[in-house]
Order: sequence, then C-alpha cells, then structure tokens
Amino acid sequence: MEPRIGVYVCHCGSNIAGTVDTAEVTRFAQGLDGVVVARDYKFMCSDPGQELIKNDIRDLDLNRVVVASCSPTMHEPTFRRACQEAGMNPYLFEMANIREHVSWVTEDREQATEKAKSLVGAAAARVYYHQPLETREVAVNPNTLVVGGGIAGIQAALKVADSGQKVYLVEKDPSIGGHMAQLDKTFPTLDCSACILTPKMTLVGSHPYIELMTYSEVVEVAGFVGNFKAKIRKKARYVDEDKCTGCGVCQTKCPWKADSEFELGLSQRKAIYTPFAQAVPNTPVIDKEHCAYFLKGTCRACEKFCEAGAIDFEQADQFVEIEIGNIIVTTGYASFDPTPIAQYGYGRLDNVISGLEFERICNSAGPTEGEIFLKDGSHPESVAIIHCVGSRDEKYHEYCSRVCCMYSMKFAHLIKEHTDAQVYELYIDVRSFGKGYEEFYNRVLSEGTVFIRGRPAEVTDVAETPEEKGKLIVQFEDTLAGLQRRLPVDMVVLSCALEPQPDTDVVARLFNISRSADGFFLERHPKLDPVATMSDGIFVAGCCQGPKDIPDTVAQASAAAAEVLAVISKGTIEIEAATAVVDERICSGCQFCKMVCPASAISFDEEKVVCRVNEALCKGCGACVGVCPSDAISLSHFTNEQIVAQMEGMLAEPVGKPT
Amino acid sequence: MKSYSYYPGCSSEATATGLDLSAKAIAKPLDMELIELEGWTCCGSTPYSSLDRLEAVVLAARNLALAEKTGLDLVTPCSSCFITLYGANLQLKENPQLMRQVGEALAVANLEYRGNVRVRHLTEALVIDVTPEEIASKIQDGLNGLKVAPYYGCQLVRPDYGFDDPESPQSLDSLVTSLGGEAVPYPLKNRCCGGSLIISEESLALGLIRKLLDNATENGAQCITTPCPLCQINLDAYQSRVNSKFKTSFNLPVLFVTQLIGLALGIDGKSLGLDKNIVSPGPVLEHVSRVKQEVKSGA
Amino acid sequence: MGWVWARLKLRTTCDWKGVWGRVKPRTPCWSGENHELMRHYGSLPLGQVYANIWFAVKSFVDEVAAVPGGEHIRNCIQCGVCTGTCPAASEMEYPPRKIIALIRAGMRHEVLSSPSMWHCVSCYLCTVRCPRDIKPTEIAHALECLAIRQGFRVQGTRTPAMYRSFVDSVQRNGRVHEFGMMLKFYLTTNPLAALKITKVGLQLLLHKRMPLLPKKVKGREDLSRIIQRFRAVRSSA
Ligand SMILES: Cc1cc2nc3c(=O)[nH]c(=O)nc-3n(C[C@H](O)[C@H](O)[C@H](O)COP(=O)(O)OP(=O)(O)OC[C@H]3O[C@@H](n4cnc5c(N)ncnc54)[C@H](O)[C@@H]3O)c2cc1C
Ligand code: SF4
Ligand code: SF4
Repeated sequence: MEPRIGVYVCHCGSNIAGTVDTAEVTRFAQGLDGVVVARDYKFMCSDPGQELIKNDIRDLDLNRVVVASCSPTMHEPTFRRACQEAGMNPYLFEMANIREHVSWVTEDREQATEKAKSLVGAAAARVYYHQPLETREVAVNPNTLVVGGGIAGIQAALKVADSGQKVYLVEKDPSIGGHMAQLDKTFPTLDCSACILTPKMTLVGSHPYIELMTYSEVVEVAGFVGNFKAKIRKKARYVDEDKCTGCGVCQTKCPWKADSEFELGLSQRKAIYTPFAQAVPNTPVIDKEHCAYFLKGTCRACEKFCEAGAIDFEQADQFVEIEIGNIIVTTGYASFDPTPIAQYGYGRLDNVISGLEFERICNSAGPTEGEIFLKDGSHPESVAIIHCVGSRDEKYHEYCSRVCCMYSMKFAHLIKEHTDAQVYELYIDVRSFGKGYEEFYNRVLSEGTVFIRGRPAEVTDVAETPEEKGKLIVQFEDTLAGLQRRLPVDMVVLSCALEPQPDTDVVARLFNISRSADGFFLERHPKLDPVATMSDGIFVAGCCQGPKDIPDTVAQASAAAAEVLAVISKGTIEIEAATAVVDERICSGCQFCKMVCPASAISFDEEKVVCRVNEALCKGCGACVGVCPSDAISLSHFTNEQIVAQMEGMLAEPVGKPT
Repeated sequence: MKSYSYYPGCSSEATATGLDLSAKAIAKPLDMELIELEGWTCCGSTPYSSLDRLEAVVLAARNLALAEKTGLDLVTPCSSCFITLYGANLQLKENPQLMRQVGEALAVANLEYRGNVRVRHLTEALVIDVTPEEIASKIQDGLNGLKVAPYYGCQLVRPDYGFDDPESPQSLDSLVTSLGGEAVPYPLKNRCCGGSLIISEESLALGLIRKLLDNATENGAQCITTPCPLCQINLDAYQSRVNSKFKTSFNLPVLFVTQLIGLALGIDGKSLGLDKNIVSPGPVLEHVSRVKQEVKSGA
Repeated sequence: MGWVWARLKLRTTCDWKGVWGRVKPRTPCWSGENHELMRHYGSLPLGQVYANIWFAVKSFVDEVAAVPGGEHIRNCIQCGVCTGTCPAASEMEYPPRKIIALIRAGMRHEVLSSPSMWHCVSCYLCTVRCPRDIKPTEIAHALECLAIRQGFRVQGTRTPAMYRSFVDSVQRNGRVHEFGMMLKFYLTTNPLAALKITKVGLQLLLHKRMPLLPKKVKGREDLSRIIQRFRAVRSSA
C-alpha cells in the first residue's frame, strides 16, 4: 500500500502563526515524499479542524497523517481518535511539535519557520514507515495502595474503601494521623483538630475494606497501572497486634524514657509507647534504641505485666507482598528546621519556638496541658510571631508555604484565648486567600493583635535599654511606618515553612514520580491534571505535592480517590500498542534486557535460551532495546527504520521552495 | 612548609603595623612562609569602589596579576583588602568583557591576569591550612584561660566565602580555644564597628563601637581579638573617644588575633608590635606571664 | 521630540545656566524629576550632560540595574529585612528598603542627592539576610558611583570627601597614605573638627602608627599608567 500522507499545520491562533510562517511550512510540506495534501488551519484540535482530516482521509484516500501543532502530551490522543473515526489505524498518525519546541522558544521568525519545516519533514519521513498496530486492554486489579496515613491518606483510603474496594494503607509511624494529629485547633473555623480527625482515624482502623499497616514502609514497587506489585516491610513492633488489647499497662510499667517524637521533644514517652492517646492502631511499639532489655539484656517489665501476653521480643521485620491496580502517594511534608537561620536564635535562645511546637504547647493534651508557659514557668506578657521563616527566601525555600499566615493568625487568637498577652504578627504580606480566611484576619485584627509589616532582621537577648533587659528583642523595620524598631517580647514563635519530606528523593524513585523545582512531587498538569503523575496509575495528594491547608488536602485526596475509582470501575485499561519484540533468531540469551526491564515483562526461556517479552506487561519504554548487545530487540512504533527516516527527514536539505 | 604570596595592605604601613609584624612573626613557627608581593599597590577598597566601581577593579587586578606570577595563593591579613581582592577576582572571572578591558590596561605595564589566583584571608589559612589542632600542638604555655571576646567584624565572613558562617562564625573561637584561651560568648561578634566611616561619620561609628565594647565587657572578656585592621583601630584607638562621648570607662585591650597567637607561642611583645597598641595590653601580658611563672614555679 | 531639540540646543550653546532656562519649558516628556536634574548641570562637562539627558529618558530603575551591583533591584519584595538589619539605618533618611522603593518610583534626584547611601558601613548584613539576593550593600555603592558620575553635590555627609581624599592619596602614592588622607579630608571639610580627634591622632603618632610621610612605592607609576589606559579603553568602548 503506497503511503498517501496528509500534513496539517496548525496556527494555534497566534501561538504558532505569530512566530512561524505556517503558509510557508505548508508549501514546504506539499513538496515532501508521499505527501498528497498539506493544509494549514487556525485550530486543528477544534471540531472543524478534525473534520478537515477526516474528510481528507475519506476523499483523498489518505493512509498517513501528520499534524504539526503542539506537544503530543496535549493532543496526540485527539488526533489519533480523529484518524480512527475516519477508518485509519491511529498508529499511522504522527505529530510534529512546532509550538513548545518552536514558536514558544524561538523569537526569530525565519529561524522558527526553518525549524518547523525540519520537524515537519522529519515527521513526514517517519510516518512513511509507520505500521498499523492494535492497542490491547488488560484487566485492572481493583485493590489500591495508599502510602502515608496523614489526613490525605486517611481521606483517600476511606473514599476508595467506602465504595467497597480493598485498600492497603501503609504508614511509617506507629500511628496514622500525620501532622493534623499534632495540631490544636484548625483555622479558620477553629474546630479542634483531634475532634474532627479521630473519628476518621477510628473508621480507618475498623474499616472492613482497609488493611492498615502502620510502622511499615513500601520497599519495592513493580508493574504498571492496573497491575502493580508492592513489597512492604512491617517493622518489628515487638508487640503482637492480634493479642494486644491496647490497655496500656505496659507503658505505665516501663521504666525507660526517651524524648517523644510526637511532642517534638517537649516531653518524654516510654520505651514502649503509642505516640498519643488516640493513636490508631492502639497497639504500642517498643523503641529498641531506648529499651532496657534490648540495651542491657534485662527488664522485660512490660512482658511481666501484659495480661494479654502480647509482648514478643523475638519478633522480626516482616515482608508482605501485595498486588494492586493503583497507588496514591500521600506522604505529606516536613516542618522546616529554623536552626540554620542563626539570627532568629532558635535552639540558642529560650522561648524562641517553632510553629509546630506552639501547637503542642497550646494543646490541652500536650506537654503543658494547654497552658502557655515560658521556660521559667511564667506566662508570657507579649508574644511576637514571625511569618515566612524559611519560606519566600531564596536561601531556603523560594515558595510561599501557603498556610503559615493563617496558622500564625490562629496562634494569635489562641494566645489571646489562653493568656492576656499582647500579640504581634510580623509579616511581609498577609495571604488569607481561602473561604472565610479574610474574615478570620479581620477577626484577629479586631481582637487586638498588632500587625506589623516587616520581615524581622533578628531576635536577640542583647539589651540596649533597661526595658529590654531579660526580654527577647525582635529587631525589624516597620515598613509601613518607615521606622527601624526594637520590640521586647517574652516569646517568639517562628512560623516555619512546610518543606518536602527528607526522604522525598527515595520515595520519588520508588514510585517513579518526578519532582518540581521546589522538591515536592510533580503533578501531571498543574491545572488540568493535579493529582495524576507522569506514571499512570500513581497519584499524589496532600502536602507531598506542595504546601497546602487541610481543606485543599482533603479535596485533593478525594480527587485522587475518584481517579482511582474511575479506573477500577472501568475494569480494564488500554495499554500502549508499542511493545518490544525479541527476534529469537538473533537473541543470544544474555538476559541483559531482563535485568533492565522496569516492568518485569521479560522472561527467559531456559529451553530455547532466548528471552521473550510479555506484551501485556511491556510498557514500551525501550530500555531493553538500548541495552541488547546483539540488536535482537526492536520496539514496534520505534523501529530503527522509523527513527533513521525521522533523522534523515530532519537533516535533509530543504527542498526547493515550490512557488 | 606552605608558602603564600603575602599582601599586607596599606594600613600595614601605618595604623596596623602590629598586624603586619605579628603575622610575619607567627608565620615561621607555624610553618608558613609569607612572601610579600613585590611592588603591591592599593587593593581598590570600598572608598575607591564607591566612587568608581570598575576602576577599583583595575587596582585589584594589578595585584592579582602580580600574585599570579608567583603561582601561590594570595593571602592578606586585612579583611577589607580581602573582600576587595576576592570580589574583584570574582567579578573579573564572571565578566569577560571587563576582564578584556582590564587586560588591555594591565598590558601597558607588561602585566596580564588570567584569573588563576585564589584570594584568601590569613585567618582562613590559619584555620583551614594550619588548623587549630596544629596550633594547639605548638603552644607551650598558652593563654591559660584568658577570657577573650573573638571579634570577627564584617568582611571576614560576609557576604559569604564558604569558610565560616556569616551569621554565627566560629573560626576565631576555635583559634582562641586552641591557644588555651577561653572564647567568651560574644553575641555581637560579627556586628559592624563602623569601618572607615569613623572618619566621616564619627558619631555613627562611635555608637556601634560602644555596643561592641559593652557586649564584650558584659560577657566578662579580658580583651578583644580581631583580625581586621579597621576593627582594631576603631576599638582600640577610638576607645577613648567612646569613653568621653558616652561617659563610659572602658579599658579593654584589643589585640590582633595574630598577636594573640604570637603571645601563646611565646614570642616577645615587641616583635608582635604590642607596644603599638593604644589601650595597653599590659593586663593581658601579665595574665599570660603569670601563667608562665606558675608553670615554672610548679615545675 | 523634546529631547532631540534639547540636544541640539545644548550643542550650540555654552551658557549652561541659560541652557537650563531654555530646556525646561520645552521638555514635558521628562517630567519634573528631570528638571531637578538639570539644576546640576552648571559645572558639568558636555559628555556628562549628554549622559544625564540620556539617562533621563531611560527609567531610573533600569539605570541602577545597569550598574554592577544593581542587577537584582527589580526582585525586591520590600520585606524590610535590610533596613531592619542596617546598623546605620538611624542615620539614613532613606534606609535600604526605602531607597529601593524610591528608585523604582523613579525619584532620581531625591535618591542621588541624598546622603543616605553614604552612611552604609559595608557590613554586608543586609546582603546576607535579603531573601531575594538583592545585595543592598552593592546598591548603596552603585548609587554612590552614579551620584558621583552625574555630578550630584551631596549635603549632609562627609563620606564623599573622605572617599575622595582616599582615592587621591592612592592615585598619588600607589597606596593610601593614611596621614595624608586624613589631613586632606579635614582640610577640605571642617578643619576644626580635627580638634576632636587630636588625642586619637597624637596617640597614633606616639605609638608609631601614623607615619607623616608616604613611602615611595615601586609600582606607583605603573599603577597610574594602568589607570590612564583603563579610562581610555573604557571610554572608547
Ligand atoms: C504549625 C502548623 C499549623 C497548621 N495549622 C493548620 C490549620 O489550622 N488548618 C489547616 O487547614 N491546616 C493547617 N496546617 C496544615 C496541615 O498540617 C496540612 O495541610 C496537613 O497536615 C497535610 O496533611 P497530609 O496528609 O498531606 O500530610 P501529613 O500530615 O504530613 O501526613 C503524611 C503522613 O505520611 C507519613 N509518611 C511520610 N512518608 C512516608 C513513607 N515513605 N511511607 C509511609 N508513610 C509515610 C507520615 O508519617 C504522615 O503520617 C498546619 C501546618 C502547620 C505546620
Ligand atoms: S531585604 Fe531584600 S527583598 Fe527585603 S526589602 Fe531589602 S532588598 Fe528588598
Ligand atoms: S551593608 Fe550598608 S546598607 Fe547594608 S546593612 Fe550594612 S550598612 Fe546597612
């Protein structure tokens, strides 16, 4: 069948036509080998644009189509579908990206036009060699893995499980809850964080469709959308989850203590502990590093007193393998450590504390039972809250952490609720963008909190006047008054940035998720695909994708659940027709390909001493093709012939301009 | 022995003779060879670059070109020369056009600069190359607990050269400790003394100096040590001005860190230029020699 | 077209005061700011007058951004860390943050005739603390250069005179001769003020820290030739 190619050059309004001479590109295309028709049009992706292609396929008997427009990630599916609707195999279509690769990155019209021409030439040369391929459908495993049990993970797990689908929720800490469990009240409505969170935690703990694995980590992931395999390490708790009744007697009897992680080191916990009272599950863990028995070989007090006989010092880490169809990653954020900003004195000056520490101090279940104390046991008479610590600062994080203004104002309110202290908010810009947020700002203003616009220069205890003696002095410019000021206060709260978890790189590699410049996970599209990632079947939600408040976190988590449920309810997914094929006559059986295949799609036939590709598993990534020393593997839709033709098309001397 | 090309800076010939003398005096015992840059001229420091930024770079470039010929790291004991030479070096490397223009100018004196010199502060060389541990091992009697306020000033650590923290520097502290002294907490240790503005804006600078003296005294320092000639003269020579302006009675010796090291190494005061200090370093000498006496009588 | 006309006029007259009188009413596009600027032209060489007119057409923030050290000025978020930090802020009418705001508001005359930047002690604290890498220290010095280049005569600070004495000393001796520099500074500003520091001066003399005569420096002639050459290279570029 002689190739009959149609080429369509899109203007994309002025996006392309503003820089590229589309008429010239069309004229150029008309002269290319096998091209029967070339046209340019305002918007190829519009209905009339697609009709143009369809009509030509029918009327001119086209069997190949090239569209020169935007990125294939935008519209390749659109045009493939159009071709298919006109009766052409969609794999006989090829796209040339003359927007992102040309008009948006080139200023010179002539150069842009030349580049567009060479890309179109390349596409036409390539499509010449395209072969019709058939897409395949595979069944979707309906189970879902949720990684991270903060509010994002909890919400996503509940939404999926409530529809009757199985969810594995993996949390690295002994309890789910994440940061929200540490908060006191939540802006702007000031509902108690624990009161709204714990019912959801309990639901997770008892949900028939949720298998909760706390104190666990995902260590391996293989497969692809619809059919993933994951290996999970359940760290030894030294407490038998099935036997433990959660009575807590072990924790009262244990003689050894360590700083409580949950309380940020503001108080202590035992060596056998649950992080907080409402922990889910309520099963404690033994912290080996601080346990007398593990360190010295004697004690076992917990064992003696546990009536359920749940203590098991012999327990070892367990590895569990699960099969799932989709994964939602909700690993959350870390709070920025302000120690490196030496001029704010954190860690050096008493009564300079971080935002999260303030949450604990203010919390009636916290180390001070909700009383706001200074180090010396007195109550503060004045408190300064410093915004943007570690945020909006090129030395640390360039981005705005989005929640700090709001939680700072929440602090101001809470301080007023708990004490008679004067509160100062030192801000650069107040960002109260959400529903009810500006109203909350107004409320805090009217409560008498003093707002000062100026990023503080430093916090010091070096007094310059008698009034400053014994105080923390915040030095700043009151930018609106135009004055350099020194403000003596008793307590300074640093509203620290939200930053990516320290192990984000490891998790990103494990799940094959990209990261944006700020270090957080990158969504597939910032506006139109905010919870998907570049890896099909892997979704992100909550603060692991970027700083956000609870309402946004929950909305995103629900969105991720909906995405997953959409895949599950369809039941099957279409997979790429482009797969690798081994030419068994050439294969030497070295198995290099098997080693590099990320989808575990290659198996080794011992008898014939050759490798074979499982088409259902192959993702068409091409890793095997690159590594095969004897050129035995080729990738359909990326054959040598096609790629060489594409290069030749690109490098060809421009054919004389037809007049 | 490690050799360095040594750039003393203009003040070494006048207000900071003590720095120059003591730097040279401690070099040998610490296995450093300081080879004075032949025919050096002004580095083009702040006053110059405030009037003409680019021309100031030419001044620096001449010295850099001279240093490049020696193939050695260029070391200066002066913080102001350091920031100027370091900054100009960086500017030349980052700006090829400027480098070309400067090159043309240097050519009239048969000089050229290719951008291969590493500019270093003597303090950095002491901390990184010699190391406090090495110094400690060469100390006999040491300062035995002399309470010293380590004063860094500004341009030794800022904007940022990577060898010490601009906000809470530690290098001088570690030197003082290695000498057997006690580095007292000194929150204002990296704050400004007013620099050359002591001449043109005296009252501004005196206010800053006062805070520094106050803070050192409050923390129980018996003396202040600094590597910077400007800081030294401001804190030392202008101490009397502070006293008369603010009705205070400071009498705090201000020693170059090189002088302090020299003392701990047992070098005599005259070779270290201690006789040039305006606030008498007598109490410091007494403290140190008392220690020596004790050590001797104990032995 | 106003400025073309002005250029022609400037070229054909040598009575600078008169020029100012004539240019003023015909230069609406330069706005008030530039009339202020013209006031200084009386003592300027022709090249600088042209330079100033050229700059008057360009926006002030562009001009500052074009000076080495001023590059980042557009990124300032006016957070105030620089001013909050500045040990000299109390002496400045326009501390760093405000001066940046004024530059961006196009207040050339106010900024360049102000003594504020001359109070910068080059402590670089603002520079290390600025969250936007603006380098206010460098901006202060860049402004000083602009003010000098454009012939602004600054009231309310003696720092320019001190810097001038310093530079003269360097250009004469190859190195700074501190005594000579101080002498010149006090003579050109306020000789009586020297009385206040006689004690300091005497002590320095007594402790042999203030030689009265400069050293003969080997590289002195070389240095002046290099500077001369650099000036020529730069002006031809
Ligand atoms: C001081 C402060 C006050 C705040 N106040 C409010 C407020 O009043 N109102 C409001 O709306 N928002 C507030 N926020 C924001 C709020 O904390 C977040 O929006 C919310 O906690 C985000 O939830 P998340 O589930 O995405 O992340 P997280 O709460 O961080 O949860 C992530 C979970 O994943 C787990 N995890 C991490 N890595 C792994 C891994 N590799 N494997 C398994 N598990 C893992 C973690 O242990 C954790 O349990 C505040 C934030 C701060 C810092
Ligand atoms: S610190 Fe930087 S960003 Fe902030 S006001 Fe000053 S120059 Fe602008
Ligand atoms: S460098 Fe200059 S402007 Fe910046 S803080 Fe120091 S004195 Fe102020």
